[in-house]
Amino acid sequence: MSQGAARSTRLPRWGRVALAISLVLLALALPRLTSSGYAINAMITTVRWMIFALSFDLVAGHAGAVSLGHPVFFGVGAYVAAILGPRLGLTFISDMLLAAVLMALLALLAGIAFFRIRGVTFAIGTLGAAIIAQLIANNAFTITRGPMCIQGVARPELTIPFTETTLRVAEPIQYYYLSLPLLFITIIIYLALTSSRLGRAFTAVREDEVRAFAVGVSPLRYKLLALTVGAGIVGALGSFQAHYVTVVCPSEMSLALTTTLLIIVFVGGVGSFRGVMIGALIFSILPRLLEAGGTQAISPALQQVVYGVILVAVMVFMPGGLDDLVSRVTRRLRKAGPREEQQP
Amino acid sequence: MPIELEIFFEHILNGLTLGGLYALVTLGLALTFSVIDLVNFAHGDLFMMGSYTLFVLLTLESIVLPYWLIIPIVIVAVAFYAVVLERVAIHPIINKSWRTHAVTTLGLSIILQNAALIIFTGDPRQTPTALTASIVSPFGIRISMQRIVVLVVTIVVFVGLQWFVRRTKTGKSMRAVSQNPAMCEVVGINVRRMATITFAIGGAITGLAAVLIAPLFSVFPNMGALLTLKALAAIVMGGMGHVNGAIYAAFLLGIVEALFGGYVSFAYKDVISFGLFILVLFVRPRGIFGRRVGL
Repeated sequence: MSQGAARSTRLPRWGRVALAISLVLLALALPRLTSSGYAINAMITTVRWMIFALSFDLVAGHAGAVSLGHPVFFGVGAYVAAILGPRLGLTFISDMLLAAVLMALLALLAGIAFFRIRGVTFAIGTLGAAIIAQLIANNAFTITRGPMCIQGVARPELTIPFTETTLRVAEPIQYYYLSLPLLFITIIIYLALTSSRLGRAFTAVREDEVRAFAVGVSPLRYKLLALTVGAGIVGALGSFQAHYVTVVCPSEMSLALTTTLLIIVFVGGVGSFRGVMIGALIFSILPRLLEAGGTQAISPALQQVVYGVILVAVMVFMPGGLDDLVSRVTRRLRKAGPREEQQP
Repeated sequence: MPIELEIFFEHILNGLTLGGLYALVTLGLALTFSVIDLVNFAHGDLFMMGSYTLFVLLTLESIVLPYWLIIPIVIVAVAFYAVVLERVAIHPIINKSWRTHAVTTLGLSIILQNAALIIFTGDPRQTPTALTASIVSPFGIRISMQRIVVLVVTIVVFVGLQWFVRRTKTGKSMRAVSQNPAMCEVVGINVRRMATITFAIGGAITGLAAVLIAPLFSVFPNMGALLTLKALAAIVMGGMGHVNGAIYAAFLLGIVEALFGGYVSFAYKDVISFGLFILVLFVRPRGIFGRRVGL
């Protein structure tokens, strides 16, 4: 029934294509509208949270495994770029690929171990693993320099194909255009994994593992697929982040990232592409709007309280998240539309 | 390397008090988990709220309250906080999936920790009592009276709770709800009220833990987060829904941490306890202490 309801709010095929093209064009044109580095940094943050949240939603929303250790792959990916990259003499792109491959492998191993446990025990176990990872990053001074952070990660240098010129990336706008391909790749992977037969298999696994198994859908295989792909994406993102801010700290895998991910995904609409994108957009823009609106920056603690209240309120009153709200509004509009036409 | 016996016993005693702390926090959490099948990620924050309540009562300028009077006030206060949380945020989602439970209670935890950060700032606060300062040294082992009180109280509470759930009508109803809530409705047990009572008892135990144990450590806004996870680890290690097992696991965690922190590395003591937890998860996903379900 929910399937039918969801379908009724969908745009026709040409509408969706047109919407997708215009959104891509908007993403490409956006930084041209402003010259402020502040605004462009905000756009990079938004893109970063979109990638982060989509990869998290693959695991939590579609495979149904609420991993509270997702930022570990981000942080370790960043450390790979900061520690392994220079030693192996890798460039920006190969660094990201290395981080993606290593994090996918790590996720595969972690998944084989952690998917022996299910449900809330899985969430608790991954939270424990995340705390161990953060404690090690904080205390293994010889490797990570602990809270002193690793500084001076190289800025990307890109060789433009068929020419001899190398492009040194330093400006925010250049970073923005570097982050977009990663976002587009993430979106394509996300949509490919969550539509058609694959998507239905994920739904089956999430809703009832035993029944999924009974109809020939191996829960372990699909959960491993989601975790591996999600970790690969977020590992590459961590590597990007290291080359962008040029500093890697233990806080790159902190629990604050986990809670922000939960807020984005569950307020936006868990398991829904549109919801997750809206959530990432809102929670990247909202703090900056609050800053701009007030005379002074609001404290991070107050911001977290507001976020927490929003999260609990959504869970209690609007479990489908913003995505569900959008569906309901569009359905209402569509129902109202024809009736108005009938009246002369 | 010769191990001095006195120091070894001091570490063991510290481990036992730490275990007592974990056991009391675990007890409250395990209670709500086994009766209403909800994992409360904000449980440790109740401990934090109790600790700050103690701090406020100790630093009141207009009136100096004696410690024995503060103890029941904090217990009642934390029971009250727990009931408020249950009524406001947990009851509306009680019939939803564990994912909703986890995300909602994590949201509560974010709110409580950051509210404490705004009200009390991040500075660690001390809540010394007369008992922390009085050190006794039987057999050359130095231990503060406060630690002895913690150990004794943990055992008393544990035995008392056993008696309560087995012998009293309310306790029996709680056990019934933990086994089959639908059937309880049929025979006239008010499941809704049982949930509230369970939260009140869990909160009271957590308040008792806070008022006794906060004086041994410092009080800070996110002190509850790690405690929640330690208690969850103990519950999983003990075998979900097996309260006695969880208590043994809590003491095990406390002693392992104290010994490792004392002899090997203080910085990595939490890595060891969580490492132990994850090892248990992999080797025995159903916990160390078998799979018997029930209180």
